[in-house]
Amino acid sequence: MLRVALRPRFLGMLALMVVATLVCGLLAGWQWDRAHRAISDKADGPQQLGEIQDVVGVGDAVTNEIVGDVVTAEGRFQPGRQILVPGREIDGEDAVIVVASFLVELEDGTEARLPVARGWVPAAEVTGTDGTLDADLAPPVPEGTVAVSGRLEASESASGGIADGVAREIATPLLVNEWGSPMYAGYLALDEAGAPLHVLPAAESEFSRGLNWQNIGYSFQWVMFGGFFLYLWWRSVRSTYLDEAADRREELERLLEEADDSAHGDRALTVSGTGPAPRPIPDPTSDKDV
Amino acid sequence: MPAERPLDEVAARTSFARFRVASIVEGIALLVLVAIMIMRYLVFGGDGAFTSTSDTWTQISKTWSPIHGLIYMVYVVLGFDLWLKMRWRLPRMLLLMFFGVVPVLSFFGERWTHQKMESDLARRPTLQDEERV
Repeated sequence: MLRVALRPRFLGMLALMVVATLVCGLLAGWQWDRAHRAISDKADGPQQLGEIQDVVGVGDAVTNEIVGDVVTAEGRFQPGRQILVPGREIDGEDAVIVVASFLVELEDGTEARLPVARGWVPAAEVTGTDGTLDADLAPPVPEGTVAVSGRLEASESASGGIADGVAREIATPLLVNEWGSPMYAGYLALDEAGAPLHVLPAAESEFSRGLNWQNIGYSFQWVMFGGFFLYLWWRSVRSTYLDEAADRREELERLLEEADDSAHGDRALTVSGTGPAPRPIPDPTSDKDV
Repeated sequence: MPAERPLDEVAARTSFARFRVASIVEGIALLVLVAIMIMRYLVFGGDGAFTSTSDTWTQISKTWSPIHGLIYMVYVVLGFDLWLKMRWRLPRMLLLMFFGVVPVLSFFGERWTHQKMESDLARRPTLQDEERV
């Protein structure tokens, strides 16, 4: 079989197939990298990115590149405008996140709103006597100009609206209706929470969870395609080899038969007249390998 | 140059029937994919290249892409089966794979493949030749 494989035609084909396999290998590597991007990107933990004005513009998307990194902001809280986000389970407790409106002064002298998740409290602490959540029971915001520091998080997607200071998600499209614009597209989850607030755990997303299994799957598919090209080549070589071997065998059988006939001419005639056909009938099931 | 080995005409025709269905399904699936891409990147395109403003179309595209990928793989496997039965040379297998990745081409590719199969079956010896005589 090796001699068939080394013919120029098959060597040329092999070169082509190897190129195709290499391309598939590169594509597999690309998908593999994409699958591991989140892990390598955030492997060193959250980075300190500095002042929020230098990190992300007002209204600009909080991309995967900067999400979860720590930024600082200086400004003042707006009193009496806090929003409660209930329905979270943190450390096994029914938690309510307290979100406040924080005004940051921009370079051009205008102010922009930055939603700040100050921390969480057990639901019981902000539930009024009538059994409903009451934003006024949340710990009041600090007064005057303060500096805050926390993880920059992307806005959650909104599923409903804000009613009586209660929202289901920390979603800037909802908050902007409540507090007004301009507003940053993400929110800040504070590093330190003053009692009775507790510090929020890092937000999770498909990205932050690390390994992207869809990309892993694509990567393996490319490897399969690459292997398929080599298999095709081997299959061509093998069928050519088997075809030629079968030709040689038939030629040999024909020669033997002729030699046989000329040696015992009379008997051969009798056999072919009465007995079964001397030539084997090709097996129709083995169509690939004959 | 070796003499041509006989083909199994029945097996080849069965394989082709499967390949024909796969060609048509793959052709339609690819057109659907193209339509989704147009909606995602052109009709609801964002400012940059390959950005979209429509979450719905992004989601539809993310769902259909792997399904189409699977359909294409089935197409390649059935094309490979036909290629084996017809004892064609290697470049023709690459051509069959190529038919599946260009929109609309798989419909014409299937007809072209059919012609090639018919002419080969008429020209080359087949296992069914003896029965017919």
